[in-house]
Amino acid sequence: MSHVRVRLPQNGLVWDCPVRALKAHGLTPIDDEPTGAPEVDDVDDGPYDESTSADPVTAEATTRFTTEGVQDGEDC
Amino acid sequence: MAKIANDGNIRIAFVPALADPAAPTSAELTGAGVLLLSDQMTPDGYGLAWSESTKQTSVFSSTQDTEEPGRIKPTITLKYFRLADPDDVYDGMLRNTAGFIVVRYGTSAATAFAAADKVDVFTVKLGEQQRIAPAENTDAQIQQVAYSSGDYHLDVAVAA
Repeated sequence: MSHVRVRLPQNGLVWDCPVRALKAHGLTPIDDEPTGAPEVDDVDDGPYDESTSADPVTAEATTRFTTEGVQDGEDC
Repeated sequence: MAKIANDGNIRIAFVPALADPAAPTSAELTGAGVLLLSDQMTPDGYGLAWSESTKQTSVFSSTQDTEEPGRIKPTITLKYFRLADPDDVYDGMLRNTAGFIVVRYGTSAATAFAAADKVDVFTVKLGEQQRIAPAENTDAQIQQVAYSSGDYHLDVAVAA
């Protein structure tokens, strides 16, 4: 990664700054800026309830496996 | 009227981002990310070349050939000295960096950009930092093309 996005203090515009020039310019990558708001992954969704929580990955895998073994031309 | 002297009277900077390139502000020309090039460039380090095409406008029924200005493109070639670390110009002018080359004529190069200055603004994307082949009695130098990647604006006034 040769460039990183920064916000310029003089006009608030976003600019792709060479990484090696960050220190000289005194700029901070936007990803490192403190936001004050919690990250999405940090939001508490409450206790996990297995009975109401669907697992789409498992459901999809199950569907896929049930069609295995079907011969070509066979009506499924 | 007096001619405008070039020697010592051209200030050139790389500016990272302008809200309105047709009306740069003094804060934008002196803020973070701005690199003063003219103090580090070689005497022949500002190459400004223009290519302007011709549009043919002759018509069948006429006895005269006519033409008008067609597409135009400025190309800037910079040549500057490489400094021992820290070299802010070298570090900040990495290939594919986008920004603006701002040039002011007719005022001492040592004077900072200020409101009411008239400047030329070129939207650019920087090419490779080409090492110039070393020769006797020279210091290390870099040549770099600043490709015209957007509009240019001549003689625009710097806003406060």
